[in-house]
Parts: sequence; C-alpha cells; structure tokens
Amino acid sequence: MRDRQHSIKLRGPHVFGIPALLAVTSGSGLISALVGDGFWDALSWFALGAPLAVIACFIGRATWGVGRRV
Amino acid sequence: MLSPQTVRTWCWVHKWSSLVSTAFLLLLCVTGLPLVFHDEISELLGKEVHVPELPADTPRVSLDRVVASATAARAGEVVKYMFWDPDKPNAVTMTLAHSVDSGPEDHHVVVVDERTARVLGQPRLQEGPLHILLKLHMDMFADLPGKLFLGFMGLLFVVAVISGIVVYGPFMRRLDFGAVRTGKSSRLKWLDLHNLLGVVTVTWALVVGFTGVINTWSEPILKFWQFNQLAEMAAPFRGKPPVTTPSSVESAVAIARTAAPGMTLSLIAFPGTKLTTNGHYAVFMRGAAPLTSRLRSPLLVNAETGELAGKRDLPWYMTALLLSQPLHFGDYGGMPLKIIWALLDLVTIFVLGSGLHLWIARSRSPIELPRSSQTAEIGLMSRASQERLS
Repeated sequence: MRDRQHSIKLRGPHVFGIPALLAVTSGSGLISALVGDGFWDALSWFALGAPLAVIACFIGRATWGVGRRV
Repeated sequence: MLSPQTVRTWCWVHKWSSLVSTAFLLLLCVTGLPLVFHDEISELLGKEVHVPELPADTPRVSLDRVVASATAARAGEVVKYMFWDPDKPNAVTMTLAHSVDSGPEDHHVVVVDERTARVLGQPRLQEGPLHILLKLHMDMFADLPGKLFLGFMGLLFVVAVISGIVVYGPFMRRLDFGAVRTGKSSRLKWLDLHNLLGVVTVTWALVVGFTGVINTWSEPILKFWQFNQLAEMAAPFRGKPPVTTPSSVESAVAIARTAAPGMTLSLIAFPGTKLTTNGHYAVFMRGAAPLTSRLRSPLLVNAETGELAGKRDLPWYMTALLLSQPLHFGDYGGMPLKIIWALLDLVTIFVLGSGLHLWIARSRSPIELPRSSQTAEIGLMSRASQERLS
C-alpha cells in the first residue's frame, strides 16, 4: 500500500513530462520563425512538426497494436 | 495534488467553456483552414496583380504621380492608404473610397506601378469565396459586434484549453503517455485520442487562439492608440474636418526616410483615416531585420505645412497587435509552416469534434476512468471527474 501511494505521487511529473517537453518545443518553434529566416524557419518546421510526429507515432501504434495498453 | 473538489470544478469549467464555444470554434477552424493558404488561392483565382518586369535600375516616379493615377482611375474618390507589400516589389497597393472616413464596404483597391505610375489592376477584394470565408472567420458578417463575439468565443477556447490541461492530470494518472485503448469501448478510444491530440497541441492552440482574440480587438486598440499616443499631435486639428488638399506625399516620404534611416517604407495613412489624425500623414516604416520587419515605426508629417511632426515608437499594445497577426495566420515561415499550420488546425478540429462526441455519447456508455480504487480519495476523484464531464 505504501509503495503504491508512493508510485502514484511519482506519476505527477511523469504524466506531464512529455506534454511539457512538446509544449516548450512547439513554443520555441513558434518564436524561431519570427526572429529569423532560413535556418530559423527550418527550425520552426521541425519544432512545430514534433507534436504532429508524436500523434502519427501513437496512432500508428494503436492501429497496429504495438504497445497497446488496456 | 488536486483535491477532488478542485478537480470537479475544473471539469465543470472544461465542460462548459468547451460546450458554449465549440460550434463557433468549429466554424473558425473550418473557415481558417483555406485562409491559411489565402495568398496561394488568391493567386489561383487570378486576384493577384501582375507586376511587369523592368530593368532593375528603373527609377521610381514621384508618389504624387502614383496618387494622381489612382484617383484618375477612380473619379470622385480619395486615397486612404498606400501600402508596400514586401512580396510585391514596385507595386503600390492603394485603398480609395468616396471619403476618408467611410467604412471598408466602400473601399476600392488600386494597384499602381511605382516606376511608371501605370495602374496595374483593381483587384476586387470585397467579393468571391475568399472574401466570404474571411468575413465568416472574422465577424460572421456582423462587423464589430460579430468580431467581439468571436473574440469572446476565442477566450472561452483559451479557458477550455487551460482547464483541459488541468483535468488531463487526473485522467491520465494510471495511463502511459499516448495510450490509446482500442479494445474495450469506442468511448475510451475517443477519450484517449481527445487527450493525446489535445495535450500535444496545447501551445499552438493557445497561441493561435489568443492571438486571434487580440486581432478581434484591433479596432478598439487602434482607437485607444489614437486617443492616447496621437492625441497630443492631433490637438491642433481637433474639431476641424480632415485636410482635403494635403501637401505632397513624395516630400512627406522623403522627410520620413531622412528621419528613419535604414528603414523601409511600409504604409502611408492619409489625414482623417483610422491610423492617423485629421491633419497628418502617418508614414509607417518597417525595420530591416526579420523581427523588426514585423514591427512599425510611425512618423507623423503635418499635411498642411509638410513638416515632420514627430517620430513615435509604437506602444506595447500596438506591438502586440502587430505580432499577433503572423502568429495567428502562420504566414511567417514559408510553405512548410503553412502546411504544419493546416495540419494543426485539422488536429484541433478533431479535438473539438471528439470532445463534442464524448459529451453527446455520455449517456450511452459512461466513461470508465482509469480504475484507481487503492485509496478512497482517488476513487472519489475519478468518479467525480467522470460525473462532471458527463
């Protein structure tokens, strides 16, 4: 019981870990195209494309049954 | 950790802010999708004016001749604005109307070549499918009240996104990131997809949502700027009609260029229009660097005496308004950024639709939240969240 409670508390940062990382990444992508051209534009494409890649990856996993959790 | 009561409150906020705004947000997302490619579609529809090729060192003529060409092409009308599009070198886009204070429905656009003073075209921007989409997106054909209403819906959307982040925590506590439960019920699949697609696009949704809200405030912001920063310069002209035979535009621009070296001409507002006073030309210059090229410095030139009246740095709220435009339109990073913008818009449509679906289908099969009966508190929280969202 004790262990479980402990693990529940540790889930806090875990739940928001990847979303927070993606939030910061896409935020910097929104800004980078604004402050420069060329390289900075390309950087924004990758940074803002990251959430789309994550969506594609997890929908693919769910569709093909890899790593599915019930 | 959030108390069950707090989670319940946030669930309530998420449910109602979403439900009230969803229909309008769907309208905004659906009309906004083609508008991301506004310029490309406009080109395809033949709305864009073609600028002829001339030797690179062809000198430009006096802007007074450019103005004369435009007013000759539209008898009885006056120039309100002259605009230089960085993507269309040598073309001056002018807005004319029967009076400087008439509304946008009376606006006519004339594009003139600044090297020959020849009229290149009069694109009809107030009609056609793009115009309908734009009006639906901006104000639903209801002018300022429509704009402010959509702005309020945008604020509700921002609230829905933020409360969505808060309730994402309790909903996901027993699940790995990105888990999509395809086995049990279709409702769980919809919920998981709603959570996944919603949470990874949070930053984009918040930025595009909130900059959209700021854009709906553009008219009040401009009015405030006139009363605030321009008031002092406007004082000598207060109560008088706008200067109808203003001094030379060409010399006004020459003065502005001297006062703002290294900057590029962006827009001239003629006396009496919304961007200036009754007695001044406002010459807006843009910077040369990528970021400063988004900003503008206005120089006011007295349209009776032709003298420089002052150079102002834009206050923060005008800067915020100017930066809100690219951040809302997604037109600042080439075609790949536009495509990403469109895809993120489609993701948002899915999040809105799945949220609505989850609410509509709530009675058929209640959400089975992550089972967590280890402690009474967590069990209560989950059930509470479930009830609140259903």
